[in-house]
Amino acid sequence: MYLEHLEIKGFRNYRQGSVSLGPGVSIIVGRNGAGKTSLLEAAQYSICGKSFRTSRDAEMVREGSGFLRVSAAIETGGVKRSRLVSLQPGQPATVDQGGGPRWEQAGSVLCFSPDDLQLVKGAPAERRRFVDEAVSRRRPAYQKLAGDYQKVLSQRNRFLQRARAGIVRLADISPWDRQLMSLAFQIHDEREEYCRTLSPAFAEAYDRISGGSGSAEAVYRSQLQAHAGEEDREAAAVRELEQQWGGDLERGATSIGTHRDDIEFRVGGKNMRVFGSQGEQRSTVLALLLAEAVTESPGGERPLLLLDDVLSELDPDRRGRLLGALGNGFRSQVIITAADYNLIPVGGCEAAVVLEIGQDGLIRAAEAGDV
Amino acid sequence: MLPAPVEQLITELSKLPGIGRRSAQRIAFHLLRRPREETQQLAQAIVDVKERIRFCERCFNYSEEELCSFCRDARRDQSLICVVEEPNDIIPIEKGGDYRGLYHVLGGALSPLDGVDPEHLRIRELLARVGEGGVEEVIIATNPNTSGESTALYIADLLREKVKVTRLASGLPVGADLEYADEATVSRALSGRREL
Ligand SMILES: [Zn+2]
Repeated sequence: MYLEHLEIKGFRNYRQGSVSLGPGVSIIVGRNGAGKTSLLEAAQYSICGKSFRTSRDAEMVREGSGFLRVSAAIETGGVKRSRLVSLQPGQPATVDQGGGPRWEQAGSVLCFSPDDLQLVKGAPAERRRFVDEAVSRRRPAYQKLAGDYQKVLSQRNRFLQRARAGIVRLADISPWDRQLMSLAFQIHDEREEYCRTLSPAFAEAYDRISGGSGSAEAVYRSQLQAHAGEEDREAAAVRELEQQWGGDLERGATSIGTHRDDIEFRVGGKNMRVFGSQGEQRSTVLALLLAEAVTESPGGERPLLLLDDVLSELDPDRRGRLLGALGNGFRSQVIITAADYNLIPVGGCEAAVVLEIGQDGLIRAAEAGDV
Repeated sequence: MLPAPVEQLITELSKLPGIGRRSAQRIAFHLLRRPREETQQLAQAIVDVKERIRFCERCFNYSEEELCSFCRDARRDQSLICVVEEPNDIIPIEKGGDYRGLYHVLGGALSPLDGVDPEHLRIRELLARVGEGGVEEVIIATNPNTSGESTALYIADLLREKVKVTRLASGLPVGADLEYADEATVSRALSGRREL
């Protein structure tokens, strides 16, 4: 996917603004508060109708403006289309998709902002969500599977609470146990396969950013792995779950399943969540994003990468290597924001186009002397 | 703004499934325009359905008499029972035209979150029917969602020793309730049923 042109009206702090982008790396420079992040947000919003900054769409409407409007010229699969998204607070967004698909299918967008460090540092749920979103982009049916699992899990937990209150007999939980494990193994297999594909791409991207060599890996961890290779692993897991009935009843919660999965990002055998330095953790998240962009559709449409203010958080070497990795040979379009020209390494990425946000909201090529 | 009886009618209509306030208004004004006899027929039909329809004592389908038309029909295969969640789930199976057995309506599906436990469904009554003898196969046609699936597993556990238990093939569109499936799909699901 290639986002060629973006025009915004009444969006965040923009009365109006516009930008034309190249198919490679674009670096957008502007002082703090100039609207760099808002521009990335508008790009994402125009394509998938979501914002990485807020779940309340109305927040994006400029104060004093009754509506927002984002129009985008997008090329997918060799076809150029224009999309126009309008939003009035209190009403659902309207989208004129120009004959193209409505939201998600319009193309995928991967975002990174400094807060996304939680992906490495945070709770396992953050990492499961990353994997689940990635699998869903590849297989839309996975969303239903994950939804069904969540439903059965809630049903089973409620059943436990009702059993503890003496309303139902604990032995009658069995249908929920079996269904939970049946769905769990389907999720397990999808997540495992995803991590297996991701891991080598992650290792390669990590090396390019960090300058290290070949020791990074993404390792899937699941309680269900205990039953790998067993003849009827589902039945074995159901038996294991049965042995937990007592404890589950006491806690009113389910102790075994893919809702306890985690993904370990290891570098040189070191778990980055626990032992990674701030810089290593940052490199880990960026490497994951790069790896996801490369593996999402090998040979097909690549997702758009939005990197908000990542350069300031990296040391100069890593900055140079990141831009190098995003340059030649990396087929995704990338938009990076930076607060300062000094953050752009000299010769770090020859393919990058540097743009500057002007007072009028127009975003144009930086003067040669600026860089 | 509107006369009280009209308001009352709109309020009652908007309690119906899929009818919002705006649709309720449209229907109310439509009824006001229709001849008196026609609206009386509608009102009478609503009263009749509540007064004359009850549950079949054997299968819990809707019926005007003690036994519904399926349970009274001696030509139907008495050795087959198809278990459904609600009476309206029978319609697509009958339209399919291939099924000639009897039915059993559970009155819902297991859902702890909604407070629906085994004792709230007509499972005991199903066991009793099978216990009377003469039944060779129970086909479970609960909806292909998580509640319907758990209900199927629960019933299969109780019946497995006593009778052959099968489940409709998952030819139904994912997540689609039986109620909305077309006849050809139901026929395929029925002929491709598997043992539970
Ligand atoms: Zn009957």
